[in-house]
Amino acid sequence: MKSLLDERHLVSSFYVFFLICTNIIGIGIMSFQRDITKDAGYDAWISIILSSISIHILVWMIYRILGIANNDVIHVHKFYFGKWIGGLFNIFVIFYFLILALIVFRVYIEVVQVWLFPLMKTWQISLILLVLVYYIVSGGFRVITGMCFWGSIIPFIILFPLNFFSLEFANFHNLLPVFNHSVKEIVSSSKAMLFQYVGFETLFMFYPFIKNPDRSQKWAHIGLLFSSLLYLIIALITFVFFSEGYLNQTIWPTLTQMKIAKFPLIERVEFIVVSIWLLLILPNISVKIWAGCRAIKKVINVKQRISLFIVLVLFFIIANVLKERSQIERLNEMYSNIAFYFVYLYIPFLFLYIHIKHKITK
Amino acid sequence: MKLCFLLISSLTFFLSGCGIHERIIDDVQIIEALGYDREEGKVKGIAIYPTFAEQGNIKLKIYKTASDSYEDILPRMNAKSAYPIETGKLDFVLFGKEYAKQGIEDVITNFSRNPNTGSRMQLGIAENTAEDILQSSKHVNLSFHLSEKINQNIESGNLPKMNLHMFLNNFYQEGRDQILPYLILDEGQIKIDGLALLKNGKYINHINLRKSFILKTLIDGSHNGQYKTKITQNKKEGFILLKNLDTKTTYTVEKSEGLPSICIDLTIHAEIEKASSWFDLKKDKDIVKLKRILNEHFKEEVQSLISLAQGYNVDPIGLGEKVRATSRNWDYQRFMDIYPELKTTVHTNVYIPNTGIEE
Repeated sequence: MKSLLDERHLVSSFYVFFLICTNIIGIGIMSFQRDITKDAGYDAWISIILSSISIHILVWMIYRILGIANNDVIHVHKFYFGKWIGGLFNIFVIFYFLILALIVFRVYIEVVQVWLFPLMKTWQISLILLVLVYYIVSGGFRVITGMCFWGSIIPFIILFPLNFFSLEFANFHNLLPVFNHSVKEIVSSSKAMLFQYVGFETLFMFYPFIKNPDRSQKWAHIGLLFSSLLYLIIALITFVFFSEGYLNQTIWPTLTQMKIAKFPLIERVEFIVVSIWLLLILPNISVKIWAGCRAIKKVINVKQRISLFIVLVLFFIIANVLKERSQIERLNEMYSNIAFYFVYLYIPFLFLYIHIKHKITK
Repeated sequence: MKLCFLLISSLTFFLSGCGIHERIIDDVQIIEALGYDREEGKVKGIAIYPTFAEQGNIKLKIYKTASDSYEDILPRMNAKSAYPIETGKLDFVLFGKEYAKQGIEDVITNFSRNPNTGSRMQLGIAENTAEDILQSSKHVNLSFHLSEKINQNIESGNLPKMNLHMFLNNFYQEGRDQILPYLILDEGQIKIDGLALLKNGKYINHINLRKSFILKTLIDGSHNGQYKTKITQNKKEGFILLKNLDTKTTYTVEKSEGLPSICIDLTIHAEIEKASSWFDLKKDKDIVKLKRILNEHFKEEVQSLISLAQGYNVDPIGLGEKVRATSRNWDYQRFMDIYPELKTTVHTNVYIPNTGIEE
């Protein structure tokens, strides 16, 4: 299949692995354990596997949808639903990506304020970060992909091994008895887990930017598998490290469990963890903002640089308006409900609709 | 565009210094140990802080303060200090017995909420007052010697693994009660004299060091413990000191008519360090006899420890956790109701691989 875009804007299909990884693993990996154990207790590792399988199916669907259209989702909407309904969907897609980026952005600022600099004001951190994000996103998709590459390699090498220090205090009895929760509880915990995978839908936007897109599907699935394995391993370590009662009290279990690592010169490991974590957060936000701005460009034909600037100013304002943790959490909850319907209802619907329409027009 | 970038870069440069609450080591007062006591309805706090007069020369000094509740102990100390007090390096918190009887829950949970608190912080219960112990520790001019004392005894002595994280784990979880080291003053020196048993953060009682070793083997086994026992045979009395005790414990929970019974299997590998001279270690017969005696002895000790704990109605071994791990409908309240009558059977296997370089 020939691509619509000029060769110099494209990235090779291999990079889809990193794009998927950094898009999935963002803010959630520090705190997902508590959310998923709320219903399923320490059987929640099953729900990680279950939701991972469902996302694999969805990624396969996305590839089918975009393979037929050979373009991004904005084009699909316009082409199959017409100008008005399609436009409505497109506006939804824009907000979908941008709000997701906003949540990640705001939660990271909160983590910095709680763990590192309690006296730092929100506007100071957000201004610095947004300047960086502007710099990255305005560089174009290839620059963002480069950030994704380093943003997944460096944190993985440095942060992931830190989790294993906590095995010194592991209590494997925590995991027993296995399968002690009803199917309903496991399913509702899978629903909580779904939100940790949200972000893979940016594939809808960057698909035309991949060289040989049909060959990249393999890398998307490998990236997804890799991220869910990472979630699974970290969750299992957390479950043996924390008792269930204590985990319920802990807001960022991954940070707390990394904190137990002890080095001769570094008394507080979490300072390093939160700082390096920025490398993961930056591409994560950048891809979503890029996807949002790209969608804006395709819908109302505004230059990406201008829309990016407006979006970042809005980010700055909203990030400062959200002052308390409860507000962020409410936004998060609202969003995860919308994401649930978007991912599990809208994507299969689009898949079926396009398939049927494609068959008829043939 | 150039102007814009200049503006942005200078903004980033200048802003990066904002809001960072700098804490340079010379401008803060690090406290390394903290004690809480309750006396005449008041809470007394005592903190140890190091001063660095010259390189390699550390002097420990003390802040003392009293208040009607524990919350403002640190702010009150801050009022006495030349530099702001930092708890980032704090790694030992000691509670007087009176304080611990009323519960240490508030202090611990508030510490755990603070991101600056280290997870490996050690806690302890003092026999009389925390003040006595910390006062006398001042003369040891060695930083962090109190927490090191506990860590060393966990590594090579008779204490089971513990720290703030483990305490919180047991505190929030149903199925195991908390234990903390119990410190006394012995000829003016601080000594770990066993373990304090706590329930819901309240001091119940304490057990001695020999029993702590048994508890350690029951909780997480040991690799290099030392253990002295008295043995009598043919009306002769003697002592045996075992070393390099390598122990492993496995639990099997059996259920009959809803009442769980727990079978404890203890495997002990031990070297004989010292034995009374009338024991002839050359003879195989005597070794067999010795093994039998030790088997009996450990069985008795474990049983007595469990019944002691049942008598206090605390569960430091985590028997509840073992039952929970095997039951589908776990009800902690019900378990605690039957806990005093819980049946346990103990099997011990003692192996003596060698007796050192001489027989």
